[in-house]
Amino acid sequence: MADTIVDLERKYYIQQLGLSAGQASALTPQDLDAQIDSRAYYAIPSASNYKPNNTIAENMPRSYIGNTSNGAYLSGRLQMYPMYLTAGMSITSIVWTSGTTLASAQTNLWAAFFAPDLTKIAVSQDELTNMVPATTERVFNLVGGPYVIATTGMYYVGVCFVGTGTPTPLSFLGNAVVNVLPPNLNAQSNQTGLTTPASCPNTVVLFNTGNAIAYLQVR
Amino acid sequence: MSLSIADLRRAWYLQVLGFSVAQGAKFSNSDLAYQVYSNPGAIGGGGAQPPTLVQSNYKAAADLTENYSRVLAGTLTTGNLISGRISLQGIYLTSGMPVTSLVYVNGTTLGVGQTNLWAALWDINGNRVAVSQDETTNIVPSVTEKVYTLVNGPYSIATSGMYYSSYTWVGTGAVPTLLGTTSRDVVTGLAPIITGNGANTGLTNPASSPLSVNLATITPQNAIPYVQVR
Repeated sequence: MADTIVDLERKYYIQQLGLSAGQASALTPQDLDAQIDSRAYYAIPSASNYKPNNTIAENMPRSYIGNTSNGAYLSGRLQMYPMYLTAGMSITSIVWTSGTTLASAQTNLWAAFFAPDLTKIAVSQDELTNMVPATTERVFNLVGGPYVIATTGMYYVGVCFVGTGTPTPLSFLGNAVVNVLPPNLNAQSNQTGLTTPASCPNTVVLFNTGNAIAYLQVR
Repeated sequence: MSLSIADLRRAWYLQVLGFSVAQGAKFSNSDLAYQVYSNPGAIGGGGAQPPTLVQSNYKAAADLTENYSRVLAGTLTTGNLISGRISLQGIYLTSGMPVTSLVYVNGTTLGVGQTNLWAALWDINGNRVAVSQDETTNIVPSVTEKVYTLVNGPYSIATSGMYYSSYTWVGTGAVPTLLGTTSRDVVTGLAPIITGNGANTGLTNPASSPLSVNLATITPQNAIPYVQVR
């Protein structure tokens, strides 16, 4: 008869302690269970337990993203952030939240979704002059979505603003010294002068790592 | 006494997640095989580090859990407290957890004219599970931890899920602040709300606390007080 999970836990615990067969036989199952329980944390302490219900994944826990004035966007460059996504996730949209500095003279605003090697998977519709109010969510639906993640890994989300202001995202204020370590947590595209989703490069080259990491969700 | 590699991976996964024997027994072999497969980092397979482990590895030894990692609780002026209102914080609790007390840490601003102070625990439907004793005029010094022991505890959590811890201060003057972190209401207010003030006003002591709060009428806040459960 196959071992139950409880049997396995007991055996594994004995092996962890390095007990001989003779030593182990001196312990009753009740002894073992009590010892294993004394090491239990009880909680499954995952930040994902706190994510919004309708969100498939966040790039960081929503508890920590109170910065609204850093990480200003430059017109015509993609702002690139990684997101760890797992196989089977079905991605319909990218959700970006604005900070307190508004865009001005906006002509285009769109998002794009990239594979871990920074090749383009999809782009969103163009929001054109539809600016995002301060500290407000904007849902960018991916054209041709949903996209089902085939391989678990670090994907990239890009957001491109075109206009004359320098809008800020809702963000966590980290530091470029560590953000630049691969995989880069917040960079711009080396490609400049982007305008519409059609101008989105097929492969992005990262450039100019920043401090503030925008809060992103996928739904 | 020999274990197959698959057995070892399943057992290791359970113990590294910190499950008790009773919790672990609720999983079938195939459930576990799937979880191990879907969390390659958790078995040292060269993936990213397992996200499910980060927080518990750094929690205070005395705590059963916390609402977020203490590593990131660095703001001494959080809370957005209002005298006589319930300030609620979402906290994920798991089956079997014996909850004896809720712990808040005060910030740098002291309350003025305090008459009452208590904490309470609520379930995902906003029903009250337990309340603490009333601290009445016992003011918590600045940047000091305060343990609110639940009356008639410990309460054993039957179902894993989001619960709410609450803090209610009553006084005549300035409200105190708490240690916490700062987010924004635009995201903390997404369901399930993780911090905000309940709609009930004019509460005076634990006996006046409602038996349930309407979670749909919580006013989300930017700041999230740091909560520990013991």
